[in-house]
Amino acid sequence: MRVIAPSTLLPSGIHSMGVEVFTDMREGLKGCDIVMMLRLQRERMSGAFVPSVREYFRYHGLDSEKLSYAKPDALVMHPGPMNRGVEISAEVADGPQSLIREQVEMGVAIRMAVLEALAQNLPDNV
Amino acid sequence: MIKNVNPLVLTNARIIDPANGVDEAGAVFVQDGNIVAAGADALNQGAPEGAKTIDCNGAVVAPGLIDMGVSVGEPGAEHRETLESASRAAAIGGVTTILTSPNTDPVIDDPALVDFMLRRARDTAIVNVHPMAALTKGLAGKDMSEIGLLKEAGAIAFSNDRLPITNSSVLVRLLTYARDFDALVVHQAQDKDLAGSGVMNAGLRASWLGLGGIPRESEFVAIERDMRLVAMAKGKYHARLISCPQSAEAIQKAKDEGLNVTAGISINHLTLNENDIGPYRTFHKMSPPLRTEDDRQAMVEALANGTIDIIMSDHNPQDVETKRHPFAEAEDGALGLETMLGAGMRLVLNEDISLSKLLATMTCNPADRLGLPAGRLSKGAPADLIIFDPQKPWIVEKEKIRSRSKNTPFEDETLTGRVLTTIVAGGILDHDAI
Repeated sequence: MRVIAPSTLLPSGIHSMGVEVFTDMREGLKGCDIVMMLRLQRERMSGAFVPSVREYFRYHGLDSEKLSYAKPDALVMHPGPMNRGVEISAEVADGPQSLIREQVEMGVAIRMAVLEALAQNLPDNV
Repeated sequence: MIKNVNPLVLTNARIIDPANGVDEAGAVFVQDGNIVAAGADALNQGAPEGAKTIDCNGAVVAPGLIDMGVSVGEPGAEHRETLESASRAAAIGGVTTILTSPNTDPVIDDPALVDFMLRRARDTAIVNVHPMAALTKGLAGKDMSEIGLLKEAGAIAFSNDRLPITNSSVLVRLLTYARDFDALVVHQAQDKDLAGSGVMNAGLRASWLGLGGIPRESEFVAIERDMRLVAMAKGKYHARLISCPQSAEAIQKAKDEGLNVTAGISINHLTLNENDIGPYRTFHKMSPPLRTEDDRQAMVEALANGTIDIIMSDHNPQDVETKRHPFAEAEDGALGLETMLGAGMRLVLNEDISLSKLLATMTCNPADRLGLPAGRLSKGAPADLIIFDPQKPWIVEKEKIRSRSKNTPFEDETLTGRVLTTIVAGGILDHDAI
């Protein structure tokens, strides 16, 4: 398990959470089976954790060139909503290695199941 | 720089190469724009056929100087200085590599502007030029600039020029982010509120002159803060210019802790003091201000013991429009490219430091900090060299200054030690033709 991010976005203490930490995306992706992207919250841009969208995409956005460092059949995931051109390129998001549409679909099913399970266990007086 | 590929031999020289601990009689052999050999044994295999030979008549041959602090007026204030005029001033002073300040109009905070600087330098400058980029957008001290993209475009280091970053959160994030790109953060530490509206060193002298004072605390309180932030971010930090011994102490303490910290100083703060302001001479108005003679001596000692790593000219061209004002209203800044080495020789003649040590702070020390191959006479290093007569006296005459501006604090003074010839990438720059 690895985590890749610019140092300004890494949680403090991440090194003792049992993951390998990388700030260089190509280094971090080498030999990976699954790449799980996370949304860059645009509201954080003004908070100056990273200087700009274009710089973030250049160094930390997943495009086909960076993805080529992972295993050839590596799968790409993303919990959504995606910002194409920020943390992921459209080419990769909609490409053959992407599981994102299924992931989002399954996410809806899981949420439904969780709500159902919770609802069935509500006390009678609620 | 376009390399001059022709072979060149410098004979009958005193070779001083601080990076390799060399100070001996010998020769230097150059080919394809690079050093082939330097020292007593350089010509063991004989000079190559057709090589141009320069007899140095016992003069010093040393690496060309690297100046980390040069303001060029370009773009935006070309009436004060251009890359072309600054590079000619540099060549006269023996400076073969300049780092340009991002404090231009527009500010160098976009990769396209770094590219502009490199192209203008390629087309007009006669020495090597490495642009520094702004640490924060517009030098406003708020939003960090695109350090990755700017570095890829060719920015050698990141500086907010003379403008301190007061927001500690911004500075610690910059140091943290820059670390991912192994980028050097160059910062002028100052507590702006403590400096207030002062215009010279706070103390008796300022009181006699009736001028507002800038206390030393405004500098070293900020330096001490910066050291804590460097420790927090584990960043790579260079104190742009320090002027008082308390700052040097904080730097040395940080070095002892193993922090990745270096310190610079301007030649002015090593060779001038607040008394030189005399009757309100605005050419001696600088930021940070010239301090007392005791401070100056303490800074020379900090240089000698290695706390201070790098001397820069802090070349800052200003014209009559900005300098011919009452002292408090005049702009800060002084020229420095043409006089840095000659002024520095005062420390050598005073036996404060050796010539080799002086040259180290202007050659291999900045080169090492910046990761440049220049600044040394090692085999394969760029053939950026000076032939220098350390005994030759000369007078700093306003009419002969190559810079477009004339605000030298050494006007009409005699300096000892003159650069006779400057060589950049194997090409000889004839001083009479510059």
